[in-house]
Amino acid sequence: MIPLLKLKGVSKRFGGVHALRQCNFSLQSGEIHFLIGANGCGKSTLSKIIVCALEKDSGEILYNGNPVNFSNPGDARQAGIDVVYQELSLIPDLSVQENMFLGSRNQGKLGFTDTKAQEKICRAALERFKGVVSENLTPDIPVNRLTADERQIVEILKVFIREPKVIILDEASSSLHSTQVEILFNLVRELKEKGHSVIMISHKMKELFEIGDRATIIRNGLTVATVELKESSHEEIVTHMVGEQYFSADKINRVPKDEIFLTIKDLSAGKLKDINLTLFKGEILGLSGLQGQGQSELLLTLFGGHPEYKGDLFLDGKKLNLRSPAHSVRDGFAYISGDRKSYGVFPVRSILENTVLAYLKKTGRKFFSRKSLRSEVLPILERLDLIYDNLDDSISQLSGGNQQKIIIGRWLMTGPKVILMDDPTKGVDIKTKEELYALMKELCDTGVSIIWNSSEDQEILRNADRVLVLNDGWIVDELREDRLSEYELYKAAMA
Amino acid sequence: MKNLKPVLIYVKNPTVIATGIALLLLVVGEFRAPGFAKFSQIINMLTVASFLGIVAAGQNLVVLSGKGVIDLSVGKMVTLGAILGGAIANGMDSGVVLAFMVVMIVTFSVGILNGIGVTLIGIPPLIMTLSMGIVVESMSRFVTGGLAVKGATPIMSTIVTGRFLDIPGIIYIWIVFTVLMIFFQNNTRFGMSLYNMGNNDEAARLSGLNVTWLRITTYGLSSMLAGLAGFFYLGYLGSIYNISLGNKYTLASVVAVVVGGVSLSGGKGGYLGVAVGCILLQFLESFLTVQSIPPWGREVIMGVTLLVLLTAYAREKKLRQ
Ligand SMILES: Nc1ncnc2c1ncn2[C@@H]1O[C@H](COP(=O)(O)OP(=O)(O)OP(=O)(O)O)[C@@H](O)[C@H]1O
Ligand SMILES: [Mg+2]
Repeated sequence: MIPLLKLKGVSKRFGGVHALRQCNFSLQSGEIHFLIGANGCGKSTLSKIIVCALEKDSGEILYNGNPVNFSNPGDARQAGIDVVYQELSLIPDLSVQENMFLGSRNQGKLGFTDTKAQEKICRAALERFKGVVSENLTPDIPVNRLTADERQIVEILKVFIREPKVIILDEASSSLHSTQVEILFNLVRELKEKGHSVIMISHKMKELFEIGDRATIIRNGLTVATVELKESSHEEIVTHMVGEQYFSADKINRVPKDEIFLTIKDLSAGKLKDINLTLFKGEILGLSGLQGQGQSELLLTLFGGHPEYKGDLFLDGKKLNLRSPAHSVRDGFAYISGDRKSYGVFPVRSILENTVLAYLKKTGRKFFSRKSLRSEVLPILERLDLIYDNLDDSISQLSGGNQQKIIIGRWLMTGPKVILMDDPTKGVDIKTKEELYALMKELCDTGVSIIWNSSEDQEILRNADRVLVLNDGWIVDELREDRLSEYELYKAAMA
Repeated sequence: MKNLKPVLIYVKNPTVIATGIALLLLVVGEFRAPGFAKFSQIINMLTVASFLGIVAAGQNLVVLSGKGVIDLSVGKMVTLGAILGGAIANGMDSGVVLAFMVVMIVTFSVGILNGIGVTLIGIPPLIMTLSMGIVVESMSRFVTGGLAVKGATPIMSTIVTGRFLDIPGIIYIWIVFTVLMIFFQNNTRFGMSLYNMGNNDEAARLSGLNVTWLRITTYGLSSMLAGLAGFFYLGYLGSIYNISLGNKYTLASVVAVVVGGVSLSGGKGGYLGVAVGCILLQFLESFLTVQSIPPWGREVIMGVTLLVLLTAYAREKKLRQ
């Protein structure tokens, strides 16, 4: 059987960086094919090259057995290949419906837009996600009023309503909650049943084995293997990914010091109700439960995002006043969000500037020479194993995971006492994740405490010393030791 | 091809483009009207450009600090700086220091009000600063009406127009000012913060910056620099001839900033480009004048030039993506 899509010897360079070297890839009809690999290995580049959002340097692409030469993503779309990009591409001021039909040919008579017909399609599409998104998500709401997960859903539906023959999902599930991912997978399975093909990029092994047929592993721009997932294992894939024998680390039971570091008494703010908690020195405290139950809000409140809060807080015996992020930074808090596009990166600025801002603020330095800043950030970036060309390059040139490392580096530079993390490993590859977990534990051993919200249950159960389960703004349970299990977690979250 | 790429990127840099065009104008000007590119003529053009240079510095800071953030009160602030300076010094050298201080403090304070209106009250920058311009004009009227405004004092004229090595003082001032601005933008936390908040306001706030305070102060600085330019401008003109003397600087400062490669959507563009932009604008104006093109024709040509440059810069952005 000739493959639906075939790539032969595709290469791409960005200046001195070899993003792809001689990549081979083939996609069958009706198959769900994963692209797997570390951050910066070239997955997004490969998908952009397929639809000609980037031009390849060399190599050949066959579609239905014929060589293709698209000159832009519009051509690819005409031919039935469409992408949900990793960086979201919606226009904030336009409505959901306008965004969904932007650049599409689905129009009424005489080339005028048939808004009625569009609205019908849009509503039907949104209907699929009913119950797992807020009531807010209607065709006429402007996109800038949506949350990150809702935006991602619009982005996905925008492509799905066109029913392309080949659909590429670049980390489309990374900002979705598990209930939403389930619906996305149903959509994917439906397409597959119709004989369409899906290329998926994800760093979540669980998803891979749940829905994938085959996976192609990319390492440093090389396609190193394609495996049948039914006959493969987690270990085999990670071994291909990192190029050496790999075993995931076992959970180590750490014993945090018996020294109370942060006390929160009767904290109420926004959705949060009567939060009482203590955080020990060197402890990793997990927040869990169904997503959107106040976990993110708790972290933001601690970081000065809700100055009108009620309640008392003490850090190291000192009473806190959470008036603004500036105050929280001074008190020794750091805030790492997985939603780096909104809350993290300065896209047109350099890697250097993206790393040092909070550090300059914290240390109160008003003047600096760029040269000395460089030498100060280098050890941190090295510790994070950042792959980059030049500190003056804009951060947008880095892969998603490497951008996240910079955000983490930004905060490590400030020497924080308490790190607040809201899904910090979003879009980070498995190996780097393990490194980050190790790094967190290392930090905790030096006396830093961490409050960590995660949408991945496994991650939090394996790495946290204690897990608080939130429901509708209340802390409903505290899991520790033997009770740190998925069963207990679900039981508490659903109650 | 491979080796060409860095060169191409360099050629597409707005500062380089603007410098190239400025030089081209000199050559063509000299060709069409011999004497156009004479040393003394160039110095004259640079002298006139220096006032715009100082005003545009403030505009540069404001514009790069955020999407759609702009200061359209600077022209009126130039007038206020000149009139207030003249009124307080009252023709006596002994009053110059006091006059200078008052001009700085008053214009800075008015700018702070602009900033408060934009940030704390949430008035769109365009409307806030245009309205403030009207208020400032009334202040200037009041000063000229209430006091008989004398012109520049001798020392003011000497500082601005007095020559050392055939070059007037204001050019030395502008050179020092340019160095300070570049240092400010590249080597101070304040400067770096403006770029970062201009690029992503929320991320800047979550890095611990006090974005509101920074924006208010930036508006203060912008007004103050316009006032400073006005104060020097008085030294150059010698006397105040009318109340609209600074008006042209509002639009000119925005144009210079854009020509210098500052992005109106914030976060990008340094002062070196802006300074070159100011010089380019002045060369262009002088060139059109010696070509005896009537004022309306000059404006058309200025407009077209601006469009061409903006298109070139937009292309540059697209190529990079
Ligand atoms: N526009 C660009 N300019 C320069 N370098 C780039 C550009 N885009 C990507 N790169 C580089 O190419 C390499 C591959 O990047 P790519 O985005 O494809 O990685 P990825 O596999 O998608 O990673 P992630 O899992 O982190 O999203 C990286 O080293 C990246 O820095
Ligand atoms: Mg990617």
